[in-house]
Amino acid sequence: MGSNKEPNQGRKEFIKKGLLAGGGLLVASELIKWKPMIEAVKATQHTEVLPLVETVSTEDVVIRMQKELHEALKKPVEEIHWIMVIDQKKCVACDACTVGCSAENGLPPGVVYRPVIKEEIGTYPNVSRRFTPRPCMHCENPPCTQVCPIGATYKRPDGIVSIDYDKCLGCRYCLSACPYGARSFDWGEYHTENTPEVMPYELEPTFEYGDEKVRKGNKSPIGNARKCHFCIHRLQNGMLPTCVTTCIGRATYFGDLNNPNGLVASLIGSPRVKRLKEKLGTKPSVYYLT
Amino acid sequence: MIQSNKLWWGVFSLLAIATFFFMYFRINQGLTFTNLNNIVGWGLWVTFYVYFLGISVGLFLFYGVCNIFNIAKFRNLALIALYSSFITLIVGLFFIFIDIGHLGRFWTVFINRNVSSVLSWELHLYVIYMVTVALLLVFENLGIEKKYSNTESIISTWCNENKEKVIKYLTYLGIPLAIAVHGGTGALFAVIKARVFWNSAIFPVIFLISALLSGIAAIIFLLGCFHNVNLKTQYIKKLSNIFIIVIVLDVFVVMTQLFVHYYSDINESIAVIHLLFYGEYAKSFWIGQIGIGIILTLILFAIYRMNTKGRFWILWLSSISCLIGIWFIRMNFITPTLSVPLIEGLSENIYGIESTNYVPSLMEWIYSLFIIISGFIVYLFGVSHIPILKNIIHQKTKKGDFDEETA
Repeated sequence: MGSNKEPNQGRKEFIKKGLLAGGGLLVASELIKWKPMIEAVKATQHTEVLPLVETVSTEDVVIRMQKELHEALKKPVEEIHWIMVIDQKKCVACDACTVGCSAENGLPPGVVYRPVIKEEIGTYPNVSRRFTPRPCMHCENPPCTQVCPIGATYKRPDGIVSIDYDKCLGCRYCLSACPYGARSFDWGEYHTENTPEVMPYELEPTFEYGDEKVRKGNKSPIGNARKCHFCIHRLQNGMLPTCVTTCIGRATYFGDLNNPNGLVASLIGSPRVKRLKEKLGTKPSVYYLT
Repeated sequence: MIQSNKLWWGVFSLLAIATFFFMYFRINQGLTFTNLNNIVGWGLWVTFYVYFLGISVGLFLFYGVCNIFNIAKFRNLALIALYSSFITLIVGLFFIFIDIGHLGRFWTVFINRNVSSVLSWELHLYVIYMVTVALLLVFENLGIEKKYSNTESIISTWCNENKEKVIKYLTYLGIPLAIAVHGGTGALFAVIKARVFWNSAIFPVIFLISALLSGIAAIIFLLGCFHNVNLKTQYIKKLSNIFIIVIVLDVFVVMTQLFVHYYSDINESIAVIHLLFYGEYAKSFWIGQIGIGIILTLILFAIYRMNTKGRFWILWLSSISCLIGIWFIRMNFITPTLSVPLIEGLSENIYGIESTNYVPSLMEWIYSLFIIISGFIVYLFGVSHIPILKNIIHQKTKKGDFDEETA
């Protein structure tokens, strides 16, 4: 019986060893395959994350624009060229800029410096909406200043088209001449007119162009042409225009075009850039990213 | 006709009080009582300004041509034209005066010039033209009545001696000035590249031809009012020939403007034409400009010419119809262009309305009527006090049987 068992034992041993050898070979071959992977994993554990390049800022664009504004204000005024860049994809048509502007400049009914034009594009079901905020374009070649009979509206060295309220006749020729409808006339109306009382907030002074003015009687700015002035009075005090700070989508950018490292200069180097009615040769200082 | 000076004093006092009231209201209320807005910023008053300036220029050109070519037959009519031209010019000035936002700053246009502004040039030329017409009127009156010529100063002697020469040279100056002033008014609109419908070279030409037409129509109208001028039928026929030629010219230039813009099919200009043809201004276009201004004028003219007796009053009615039509041309070429939004959707966002249709407010009409009536009263006063006009009226001793004009 014992002798009978031996060959069996030998066969079992053989199979056992054979299996062990085969398994060992299999594991070894797998190990050979996995080695580079394991090494690669090990290698990644040692990879160092490179720091961001200096040109990419991590701060909020408003803070950056604010800093650049302060830098620009140190320059002589004729070396500045203020421009505005509006990213239409970021605009959500919340009208915060329109309302902020109206509050800042004490605008009466019908006078809107920065409306947001809302358009529907396409037909159902392929529809979309486009929002175009429309401030004054502060054209490099403005048709409005050209036609003013007394030169009451003029282009400042920093590119802002402004109006001398104490000079303006109110002939409204500039209203007809502006291709963007950016000019309004102050007819002397109040929002709370025809109510028991004109609310005191409408008679609060405003500080457009750095001058304190109260809208009352027939005094300027009543009877004048009015328009967006990039909030000159705020710029003079190192603040961004109201529409820029109130923009919840960070869709409006403002800065000095003459600063090649500035935010606005970098934004307009894009195929998405367009300006309104460029064929008229007005060279607007407001750029749109479509 | 009112002869008594006391009565005149009364009339002028009333007029002064009314003017004070109107101006007080205007200064205090600003322009809130008008129907103008930030889309249509120019309306009825600007239309009247252009209209009266056109009549003035047309009348002056008639005077100028008669004077230079020494057409004796039309001499009396030319003098009436000169005086009417002056009054319509002042009436026009009042319309532009009340239209501006700050009346008190009006004079500053003469110290703060802007050489690139057509309006600046226009206003300067306007004043020079007005002074020229006024001087001509003064020189035409020199030596007519003794009480004006018995002063023996060096200036008055020189003026009396050189009267003819001065009138001639002033007329030479006045004609190009008149053309420049009204061509300038057309250019005022034509140079605006933002408005495609205005921005055409024929626009100033339309203004000039319309001025010529309003001038000749006003002449025929005045001829009907001043019965004593007594022009022979053959000369009236000659006037009517000029009238019809200028009507044809005017229709031609207006149609050219409309045709070119219609054919070009550019969004902005086709929008203006749609407003005129079947939009909000269709009544003003089809009834006013085409119906009254062209068709009725031509029908009346045809009746006048076909009638062997050539009854003058039919021609006179034709001239009135034409004058009304020209007013509509002015209106239709100014406000509809402004009604078309510069950027689509802009009007909706500011005013919540898609299109801005301008209809003058009642107060705008009241102010316009007041200015016209005031001008009419001043005109009557002038007719009864200015020597040359008195001479015309009293010649052939037909006492005071003429009607007056409203220019």
